[in-house]
Amino acid sequence: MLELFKSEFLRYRKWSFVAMGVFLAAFAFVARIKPFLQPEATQMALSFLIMVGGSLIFGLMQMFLHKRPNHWTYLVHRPVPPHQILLALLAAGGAVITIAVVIPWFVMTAGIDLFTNDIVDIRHYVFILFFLLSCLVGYLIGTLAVLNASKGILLLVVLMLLLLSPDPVTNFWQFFPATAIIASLLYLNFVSFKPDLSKHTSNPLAIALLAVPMSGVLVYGLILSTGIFYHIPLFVMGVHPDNNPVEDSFGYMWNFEEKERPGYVLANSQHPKAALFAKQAELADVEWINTYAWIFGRQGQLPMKDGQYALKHKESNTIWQFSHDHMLLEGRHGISKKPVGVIGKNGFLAALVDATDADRFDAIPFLVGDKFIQTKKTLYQVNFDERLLDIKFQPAEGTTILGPPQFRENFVALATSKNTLIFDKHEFLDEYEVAVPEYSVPHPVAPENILNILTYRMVDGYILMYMGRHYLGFHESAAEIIHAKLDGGVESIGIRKFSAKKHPAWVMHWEDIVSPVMRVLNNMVHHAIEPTETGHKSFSELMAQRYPSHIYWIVGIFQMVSAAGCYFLCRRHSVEKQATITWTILGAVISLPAFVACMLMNPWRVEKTTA
Amino acid sequence: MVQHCIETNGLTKRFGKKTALKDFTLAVERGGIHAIVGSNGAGKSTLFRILLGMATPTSGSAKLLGEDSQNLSAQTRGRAGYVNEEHTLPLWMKAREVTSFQKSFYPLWNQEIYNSVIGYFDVDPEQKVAGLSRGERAGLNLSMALAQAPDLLVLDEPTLGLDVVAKQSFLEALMFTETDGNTTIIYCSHQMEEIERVADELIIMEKGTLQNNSSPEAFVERISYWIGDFVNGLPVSDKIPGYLSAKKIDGQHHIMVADQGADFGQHLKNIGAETVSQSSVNLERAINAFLTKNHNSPDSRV
Repeated sequence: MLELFKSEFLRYRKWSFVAMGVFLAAFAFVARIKPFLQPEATQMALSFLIMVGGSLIFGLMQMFLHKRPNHWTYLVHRPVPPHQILLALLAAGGAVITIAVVIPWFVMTAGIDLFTNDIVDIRHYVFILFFLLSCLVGYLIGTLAVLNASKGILLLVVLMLLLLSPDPVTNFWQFFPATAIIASLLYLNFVSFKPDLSKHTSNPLAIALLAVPMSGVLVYGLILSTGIFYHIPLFVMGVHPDNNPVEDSFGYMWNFEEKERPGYVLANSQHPKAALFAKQAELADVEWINTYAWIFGRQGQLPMKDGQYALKHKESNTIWQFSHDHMLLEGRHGISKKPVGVIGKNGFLAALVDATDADRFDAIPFLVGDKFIQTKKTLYQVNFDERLLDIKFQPAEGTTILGPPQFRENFVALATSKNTLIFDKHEFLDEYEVAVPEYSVPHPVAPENILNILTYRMVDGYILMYMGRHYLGFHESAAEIIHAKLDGGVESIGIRKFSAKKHPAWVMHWEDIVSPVMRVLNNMVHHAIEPTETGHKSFSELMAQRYPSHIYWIVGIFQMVSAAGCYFLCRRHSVEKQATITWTILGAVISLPAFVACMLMNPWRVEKTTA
Repeated sequence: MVQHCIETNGLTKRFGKKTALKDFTLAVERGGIHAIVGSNGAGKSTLFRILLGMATPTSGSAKLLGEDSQNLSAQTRGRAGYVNEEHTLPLWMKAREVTSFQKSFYPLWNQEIYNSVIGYFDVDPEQKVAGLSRGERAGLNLSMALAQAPDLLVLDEPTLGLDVVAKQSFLEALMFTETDGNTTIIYCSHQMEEIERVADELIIMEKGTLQNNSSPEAFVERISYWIGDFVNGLPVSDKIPGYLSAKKIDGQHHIMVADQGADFGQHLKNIGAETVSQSSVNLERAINAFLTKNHNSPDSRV
């Protein structure tokens, strides 16, 4: 096996060093023009695209070169068990990727760490490991796509989304998905690697490991299918709801100008001042606030998840960057790069050595603009001229800030877990003032149910128009007008529930109909990885959602049809009994995506002769 | 009990509507050189792929060195060498490295045989395989295949594309080893002169079926060559038992038939021949006639 590894490595050794050199040169160039370890989203996306995509192509190419008939015989027909042959090939592939990817990243990270004053945390080194794992996932998908007889294996590329898109709450959730995916892909590669590559696997576990993620991709394709059999035909006939708004539906509000909407919402309100507010709103300045819960950073998070990486003070030409290792903002001069002090939660310090544990921040803050530091508990303001750190705002005990300040024309808003706060803009921006909200309006419903808040400036306060598709519960859309008074009072003027729906229920819930199980699975996985992301529901939240009764019937029929379809497809292709049972179960559980996966993963027609 | 290095039983392999092997039953005894001959598409490569476990039969079974081809163990693979017509080798390695690489897998590696066989070819050990000529690569491949001391060595058209000198060296090396070793060799080739030189047994395949499995001499005895004068032209082939081919040369009809006795001459007279004589036939002509009998060709009998 070692000899096979050496031979395979020798094959790509030269190219791996060439790639290493090219990447090093590219990284050095980037480092000359911008902070290398604080990559922007585009730079990071490009890095992943090139390196992970390159690893995938390398995996495809490596196995394709071996798969040519005579080369395959030469590779496999030797006194070595197939799994050892594959292990040698994959180990060589892994070594090639390590050289091409890890060494350039490591050289750059260690170089910046050793020879500059830039902040290099442990997480910057940990990132290299994550990057390597991501490349290995790409590589193993590539090898599997060639080795496995089933079509559509490349759809597994969607697994990359599970690695790259979430904001994991712990390092465990950062690395567990990647490790689990690599373990699964290794298993699938070993199951697929056999002398006769045209044989489809009948191993139930392998089928499930291939079918489930593939179904995850196919769900999206099936969701888009409504375009073909619903949206496009209706558009062609000129009767699509987008062009013919349905009265009393949530979307109908958009027929009105922003200033007219309160009038529409309050049309049936019994409040004595409803008509007056509607009139005033037509003359008011309109702005908006959102209550979206931002995902705050966590200590040790990978650099690609960083937001704004530093505060910059133009006058003193200093850059203040947050160190995860020290939980402090470390300052250095923009040109000389010499340290100029640190900022802890208690204020400025002359040097890093002066900081005690009491000075360190308790959580990773957002850096906002050039002078705000924000955690979920406190909004700080930095006065660089006088080297002061003041608490600008702190919510009440038990309340957390949902996101950064929202600067608008006439005010600054801050959404907390309980209230929407509106501040006077001049006061808020005054470096010597503590920010005290002019208005504090309790959320009428849970903030995640609020899509948006439109604000209308009145003589005696604000009219706030809350709205949401799920304002009163799952698909129970409504809009509510609340009067926030200058004296601190808050009064609901009226609420309008939108009883009509823009689309029929089966279109509206099509995503859930296609595969309820995949929807639950997708939500549960993401909810486990990033529970702070309110877009992903927990199992209990999903179970609490109620649909019209005919939706359940449609789901049941689709599941039965999918199970039957999988069964007959397997019978037609004389698939082994255990595989037939597996596919039938998958069809019954996952529904339509499993049926499509079954078609993709079983032969469509018999192979052509090579004799 | 006779030991077979290759056994197939009712082997059938279909690719869609095309049948590459049809109820193919063959037993190859151990020892000697067994030539497999067949036209393109006869099913030879499919047979080898199934025997080595690289393809799965539609029905029937195949055994290699007594083991089911679909589940060949690493040990059995170590006992069966395979050389293809491309002489696939790692092009990025030097000849010396490839030899060392190959040697590491075979505990019975016979360096003497390697040295003897490689001596027929002018291979520089420091040369990369990519830089070797086709003949040198074939030589290196054969040297390594024989040095592995396999019980069975399958050579699939190994001299394809070689020049005369390389081909000569290859055959000499092969024959030398055949006398010294105990390896059973399956030699697949379209080169009749090679078959004539090396084969102890002759296996003929046609359209996925087995047509002959005997010694070359026994096969030649099956084929007879007759020359007759048919004033009224040669009767249709249905009236000529064992008909393989016929040509009209200088007014006489030259007929090749299979499996006919000495009384065939009388039969030709009975169907219109005025004079009949029998001539000798060599292996090449016999095989060619055998293989071309079912192939479409312009009628050359009249």
